[in-house]
Amino acid sequence: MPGMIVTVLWAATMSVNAPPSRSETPAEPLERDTRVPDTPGPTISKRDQTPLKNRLPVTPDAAVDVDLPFGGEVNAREPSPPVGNSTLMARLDLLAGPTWRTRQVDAMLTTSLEFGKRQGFSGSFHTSMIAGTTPDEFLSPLGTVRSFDFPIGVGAVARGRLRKVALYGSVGVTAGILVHRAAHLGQVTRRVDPDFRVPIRVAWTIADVGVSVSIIQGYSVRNRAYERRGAELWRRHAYRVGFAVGLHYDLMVAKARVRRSKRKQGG
Amino acid sequence: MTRVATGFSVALMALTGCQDVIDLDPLDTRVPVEPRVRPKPITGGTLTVTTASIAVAADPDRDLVHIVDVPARKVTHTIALEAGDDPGRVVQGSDNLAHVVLRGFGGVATIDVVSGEVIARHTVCSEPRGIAFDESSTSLHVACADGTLAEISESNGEEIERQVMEPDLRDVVMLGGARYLSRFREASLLQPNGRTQKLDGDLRFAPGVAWRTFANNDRIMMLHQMSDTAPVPIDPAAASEDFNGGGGGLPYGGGGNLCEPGISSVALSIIDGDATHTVMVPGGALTVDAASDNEGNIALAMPGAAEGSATVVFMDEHDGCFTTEVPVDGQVTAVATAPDGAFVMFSREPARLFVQEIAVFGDVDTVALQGEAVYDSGHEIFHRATESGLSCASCHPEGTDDGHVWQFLELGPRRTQPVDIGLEGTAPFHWDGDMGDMDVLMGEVLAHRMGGKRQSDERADSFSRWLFEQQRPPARGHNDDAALVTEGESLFAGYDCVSCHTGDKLGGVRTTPIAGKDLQVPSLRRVALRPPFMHDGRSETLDDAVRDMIATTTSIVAPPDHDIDAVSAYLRTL
Repeated sequence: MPGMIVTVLWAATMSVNAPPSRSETPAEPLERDTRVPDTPGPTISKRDQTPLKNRLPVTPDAAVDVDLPFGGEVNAREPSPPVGNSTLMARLDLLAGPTWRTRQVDAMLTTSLEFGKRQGFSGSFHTSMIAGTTPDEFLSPLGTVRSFDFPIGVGAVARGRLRKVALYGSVGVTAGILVHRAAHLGQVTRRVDPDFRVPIRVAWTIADVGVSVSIIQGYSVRNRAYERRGAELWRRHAYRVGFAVGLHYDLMVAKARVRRSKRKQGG
Repeated sequence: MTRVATGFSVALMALTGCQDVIDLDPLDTRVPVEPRVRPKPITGGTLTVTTASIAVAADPDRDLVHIVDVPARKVTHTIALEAGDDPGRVVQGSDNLAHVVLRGFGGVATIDVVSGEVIARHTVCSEPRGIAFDESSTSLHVACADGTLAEISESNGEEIERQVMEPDLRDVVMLGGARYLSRFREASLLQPNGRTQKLDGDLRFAPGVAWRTFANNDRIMMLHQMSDTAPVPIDPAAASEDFNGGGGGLPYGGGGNLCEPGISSVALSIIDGDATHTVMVPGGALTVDAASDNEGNIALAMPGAAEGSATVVFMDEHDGCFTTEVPVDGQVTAVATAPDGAFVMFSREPARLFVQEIAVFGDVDTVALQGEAVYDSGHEIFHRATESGLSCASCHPEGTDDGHVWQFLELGPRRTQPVDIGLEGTAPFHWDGDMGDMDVLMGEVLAHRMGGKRQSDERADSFSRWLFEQQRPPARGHNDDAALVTEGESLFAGYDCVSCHTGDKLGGVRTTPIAGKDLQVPSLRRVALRPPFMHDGRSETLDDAVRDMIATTTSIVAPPDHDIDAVSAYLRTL
């Protein structure tokens, strides 16, 4: 749980430090002294200034034949990632990995759907399945508990570009429910608890498909235990930390509609 | 919106840190049933078949005696005894007579099986248990719980001889004109020459609780229990982890695993002269009676079998293996063989007699008997087997105790405590007082250690009421000098025994430090019948126990022998 708090604070800091978008910082009207301050003049005299001519065009995806002083070639430039804060996207992912639930490690499969800005905030809906591992039946005379937990939730994700390449990091906070189902000797037990998640993700996208690596913290409020004949058969803590790797697919990427202030629109 | 958020936050805070512990033990929620008169604990062995193939079945739950013509499969008489007579063992006498031990009455009833009349009732002792007919002298030998062995005339009930022996006598067997006696808790056999023959145990199990002793082919057979002498865990988690080493995952073992019996199991010993041969009966639940034909087939009355299971099984006398189960609809508590080799079985509930002409695989005929239903939920919980194969009655046979000293891993040696002293108002229970009330005891012992079902509150209450009703009267067989008893009572107060052994039960209401341990003060009711004494069974005799307690609780290290005799005499009257 403390880990989740630290993560949420970090996410808040990250969102504060993110570059402001144009729509978020409307231009303030100039007031008071509107004169241009004195500035030093250019160091090149106007006489020596000549227009650029015969410069080679620069194409983003082709090597250029040019004589270089020491030979060699100029490599093709990497594709520039889309400008994040002006791009909308819808992303679907599927990740799998282990989740640690205080002493026990369970298998987790999780999928989420995010919609929002590539760089900035997105809405998120997720659902997961956590299969509780059980001891070997032959070594457990009191029977085994076969459990499945299904966390389902919605929330927000703050995403930022980590490098010039299409590598993004994100932190989210979601709230929802955890549906618990367990079977023991034909007897089925069901529970529903509130559930909160803080997914931290690094995603690398090539075209519309990418790889995601995620650390997912979760908290389902109630610790749970199954006992048989006074002996504990199954116990899971409410707090969990999962590590998941998987693929994501950007269902839609589109230019965000730039929202301008009325002042600018009206001239 | 603010209210919703506040409410959600409050609910979240309330849930945070909650433990959702789900108990997977099965819960019995059936409506409890209590008959008009609640039945007594099962004593078993209340049936005999005469040489004329007349079955005489005593029914202690209804205070009835059923007379059945076995070849005709017909009830000829149903004899109503007096309320509380508690009929037990039956023996054939001369002519058409049969004699029934009346535990509640404290004597014997003589019945004419042809006319169906009770022709005499004779008082013998406070708690008669076993009976045998001596053809040579036409007398009856009656063995009593208090150690009394009385020989009375069959014709008029006059006392021929009375001896007072060690307490806890059970059966009397006449074989070759000689008289053998069995002791219940110790499962020993007193030979005619006065020697006590103890049964063979093995490295782990010790014999005890001689339910039934009878003659067969010039030998004596004893149906008894075997109790574990190895350390017994009481922590369910530890027992579960120890599964690889055996124990079925339950602290008290069993669990249906034939190779790993529970801490108390069934055995049959064949005593031929000085030689004894004991076979364990794997998987056997509470078994209270046995009968054998001349071909090695032994029928076992197993009323402690789980509900819905067969309560009669046949086994081979040589290896103890079950050969077949008899699918009768009833809780069989007594079995006997007819002169033609047929097996006759008596079911207490519903009241029925079953006849199987051919052992093992023969057809079973049913003879319905009279009497109201006596199904009782508390009685069932006490006697029916749990997942471990054990029932409460396994360690508390006849609703008392097995006299065994268990080696509990976390506690040390602890002698089984009796439950027939009127347990109401004696909480906390167990020697260490670690069972605060019956609910705790049923959850911890019945469900967790033995593998029984959890009981609904209504059923648990019904069980408690039934158990608290169990209280036997004092067994005063020794007839000690009245002056000595009076002096003993004064000394009992003088040594300040009354400060702990207080109340109408003379104990059972407080936990007191004794020799550095906090122990529940036991009731002294019927204490003389329950060797070995003390919580760890370290005192073999009552005198030793009195001496031990005086030395432990007072500054007197060596009390005078006369004081010991007097206090012991007083205790024998309780």
